Amino acid sequence: MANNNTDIERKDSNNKLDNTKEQEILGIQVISSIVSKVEMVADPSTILSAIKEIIFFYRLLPEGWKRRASDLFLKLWNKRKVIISTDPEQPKKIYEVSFGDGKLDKLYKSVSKKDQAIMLQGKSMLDLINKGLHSDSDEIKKYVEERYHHRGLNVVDMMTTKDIEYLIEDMKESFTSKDYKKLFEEWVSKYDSIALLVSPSELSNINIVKSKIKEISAKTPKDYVLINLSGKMDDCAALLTIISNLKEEKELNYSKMEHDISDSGFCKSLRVKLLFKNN
Amino acid sequence: MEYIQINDSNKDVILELFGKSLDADGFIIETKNKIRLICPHSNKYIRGNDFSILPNSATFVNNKPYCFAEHIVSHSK
Repeated sequence: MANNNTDIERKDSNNKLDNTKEQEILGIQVISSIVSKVEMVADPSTILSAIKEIIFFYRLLPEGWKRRASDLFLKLWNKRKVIISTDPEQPKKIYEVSFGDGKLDKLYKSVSKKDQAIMLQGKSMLDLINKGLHSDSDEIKKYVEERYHHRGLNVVDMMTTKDIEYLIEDMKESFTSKDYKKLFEEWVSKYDSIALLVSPSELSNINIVKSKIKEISAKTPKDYVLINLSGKMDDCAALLTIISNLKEEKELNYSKMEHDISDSGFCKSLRVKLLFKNN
Repeated sequence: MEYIQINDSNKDVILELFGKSLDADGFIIETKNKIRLICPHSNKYIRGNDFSILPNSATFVNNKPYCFAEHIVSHSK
């Protein structure tokens, strides 16, 4: 009986050794296969698969092959197609941002590196809002405020409200990069005087909202002011009523009100433009 | 861009492939000299349970949106 138990233990141990050896051989075969193709590999998904295979088999390789695998890994890594992360969704939010190939992209390429970084985060916030991920967007905004302070908030607010479209309207065909940068600077520094962001919670105090609208109307350097709100349809209606009442009660004399209500994730986005000159 | 998730089963291998390891407090260090890495954007040490490795010089960063954004622009033409 004792001999049978020893035989069983010996067989188990031999089986494990065989498995380890098989995996080692498989690992060597996989690494050899990658070595033969690495110079030609350019497709990101192929690079990803190869990197994953190296990571998977690395521990099983004999020491000499570990060195080869490590060199191979760095060759594939240097193709710059892969990010490794404890939380891949975080870098993805920024790396997947695109400005297209129009004027917004021209603007992006003209501003300082710091402003480019902020614009990337602002666009990411807008993308998240459009997917209904408002709290993810708020999370980015919190970091923007911490790092870039008031200026950073102005840039991301311009993007998430889409008020940057008015800046783009001011961009002329004849503009150089320097002109774009100057225009951007002007907008960012004066954005608080041009645009007002109203939060739904402020609507419970109508007098404060009225006061803010009148204040910004008095100090805008443009012939218009922009008012933005993100909330429910009722909130949008309430703000439009406040603005109309200001006109009726002769507390504000705008010549024309343009407004637009659109879907913004799970909320509604109200954008108002009050013009102060007859066009 | 493609993404790889770091988890408990692959973390040690990944760190080893980049010449890194963890110190006793769970921060990432250079294996050869035991010096803690500092994120070039947040200027903070990098925790082994919350980081990313970005292309262009294999930069280790904290998982903050501005770390990614600033890395992208610093390596753009």
